[in-house]
Amino acid sequence: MREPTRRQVQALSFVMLLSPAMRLLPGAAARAAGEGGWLCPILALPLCLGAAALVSRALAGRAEGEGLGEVLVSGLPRLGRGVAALYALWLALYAGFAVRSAASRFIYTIYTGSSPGIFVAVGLALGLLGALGSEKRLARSAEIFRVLLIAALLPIAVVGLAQADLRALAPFPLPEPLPLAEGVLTALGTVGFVLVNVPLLETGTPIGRRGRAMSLWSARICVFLALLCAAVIGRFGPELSAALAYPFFALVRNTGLFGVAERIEALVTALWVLSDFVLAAFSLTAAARLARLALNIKPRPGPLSPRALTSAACAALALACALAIAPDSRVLRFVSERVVVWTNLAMCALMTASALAAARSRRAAGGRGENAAE
Amino acid sequence: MRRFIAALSAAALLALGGCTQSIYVNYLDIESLRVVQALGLDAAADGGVVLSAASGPDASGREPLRLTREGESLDAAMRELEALTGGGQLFFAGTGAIVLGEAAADEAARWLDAVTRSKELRLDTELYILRGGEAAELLCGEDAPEDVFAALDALAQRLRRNGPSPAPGCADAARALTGSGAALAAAIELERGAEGKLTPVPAGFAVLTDAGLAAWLEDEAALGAGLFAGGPGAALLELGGVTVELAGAKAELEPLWADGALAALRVIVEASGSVIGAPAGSEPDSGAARAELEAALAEALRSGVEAALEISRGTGADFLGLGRRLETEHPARFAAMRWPWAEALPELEFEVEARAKILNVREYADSPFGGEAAG
Repeated sequence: MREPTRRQVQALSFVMLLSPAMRLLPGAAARAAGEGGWLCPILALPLCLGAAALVSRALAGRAEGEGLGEVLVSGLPRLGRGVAALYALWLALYAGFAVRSAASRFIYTIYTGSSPGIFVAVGLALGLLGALGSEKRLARSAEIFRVLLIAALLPIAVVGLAQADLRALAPFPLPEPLPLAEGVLTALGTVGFVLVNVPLLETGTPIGRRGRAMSLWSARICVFLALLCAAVIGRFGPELSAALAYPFFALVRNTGLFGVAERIEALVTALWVLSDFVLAAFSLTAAARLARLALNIKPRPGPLSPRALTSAACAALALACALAIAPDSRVLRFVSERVVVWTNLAMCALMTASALAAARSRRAAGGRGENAAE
Repeated sequence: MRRFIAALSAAALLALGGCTQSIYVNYLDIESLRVVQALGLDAAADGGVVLSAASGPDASGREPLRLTREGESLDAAMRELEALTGGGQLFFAGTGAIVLGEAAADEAARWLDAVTRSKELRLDTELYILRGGEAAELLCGEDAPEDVFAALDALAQRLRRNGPSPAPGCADAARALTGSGAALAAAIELERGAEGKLTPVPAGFAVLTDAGLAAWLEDEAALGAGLFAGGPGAALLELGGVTVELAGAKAELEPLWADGALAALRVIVEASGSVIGAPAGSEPDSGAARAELEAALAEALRSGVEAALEISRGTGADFLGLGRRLETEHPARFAAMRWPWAEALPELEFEVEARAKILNVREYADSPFGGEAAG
């Protein structure tokens, strides 16, 4: 089988989720709801379930080899191409933001005083290599990475919760509705990015019971994220968690494992490269695939294949974005917590709505559109 | 083509110089490291800091390192200390305890902020406030203990075992200071111990606020505050010749509201303990004696909590986290309070009730030995 299995798709989803989730969620949740911030991922769960169901519905009539992009373009030939082009641009820029953000984390946690350039260059080079390979290979890598990341995360979550002041987590004052909504939407955007975008490459797994599988996955992920938020907020309190640049990595930095291992942040930060790599490679792969669909470029073998060229073009866009997006950490924080969060939500909504309309159009037409999968 | 690229990539590895010459700038030669285990901070005359560092005994036979240096900031003082190490390299990342001298504790928020931001120090570090002294004396003085960190670590274990509560660390203090504007930190004093060396001994709590060191909590006030600071350790109380070990205690808050204002705060303490020592011939488990003992234990805890609350009200420092607890337990009424909590606290009336239960009497209920009590 050349296409990723469902298990591999879920591994891919988990691994690429970790990088943005740990960057954004604990701080955003603490700012949104104080001590009750850990509830944000739980409150976002119904919305995530809705997103998973809508995407599954859009995929329902797809043929073997088709992903969400193919459904979009075949169902809405003209509008679909426009949405695909816009989305490809967004994902390429997102890949640049992801590697810039990873570089910032490296600088914050280990290589203080370094320039982000080298990390951005290496991150994108690796991402491009990943994007040039098959989706199956990327998904299989994610399966291996998932084991390593869980092995690093579990002790941190357990020790973090053991050291947290759990009395401070509940009961908690009722949060203001608007900030709470912002926290919930941040959690939705983080999980939604995966729920909406992974189906762009989900071309092989059988559609049967997909909705149920992704709903269960969403539920597990939201509970897991809530636990990690609780560990961070319980350890540092909502005020300090909200102020810290990377509260989760501050937790890692201040966690020793039963007196056996100290200063494990270097190891954990190193492992997070796996998540950064998968996220960058995935974003470039999906962006290039959508670009080819938008421009109706047919596959052609060879070293300078359309796939290689579009991937390289997306990587170049990502590089430009990474270098220009944030001259300093203050701007990067603004971009990360404001611009990217809301743009991501808007783009996910656009893609879901367009794909649903395309799927309906395909059903109405009684078959597949003119564009088959590559 | 693929083989060519693979060979080229493999050849490129030869250009990597290894850790020392690569971008991995954090490479440290373990042989040359001097691992700092305890740091002391004292206030310098010009607003700076006098930083003292102590390492522990070295497996390779090197003498423990003791250094003191002044700097404008904590980070500057750390760099100054590094300049004094000669051939070795100071490794601050292993610091397990931070001691603030009394004057430095007046700027506790500044130092906690510096630790939070530090790329080497961690919030996951024990924190002690040295009452009536300078940290340099404990870390680098002539009579300083041979292994400062071991002495502090033993003290932390004693606090955990004997109370008034486990020592709050930097993270606990930072959390309380940012959340409630006041925090408790373990207070220590220096006494002459074995071989005439200075030894840190528990001295209750120091109350840290954003504005400075607000108060010291001793004896019964420390015991009372311990009930709010994560519960007491197995605190030992002497109650008329009977030694009672606290097995557990909790303090509940019951606010009394009147016309949108917080009229009073009732604190209800429930504790349990075990008798671990009693006069020979006594019968501490007999009905009357047990009731008397429970009443005495309740009274000891009540007066402890009252003393801690009195200091909190007097200083206006909410080091017991009362405001935060009220806010979480009664959010609507707290939000509708006529005066902000910071203004309400100094005017607040407290009522303290305590109930205690003796769970068991060690070894035997009635002493088989004859003695004064038997008569």
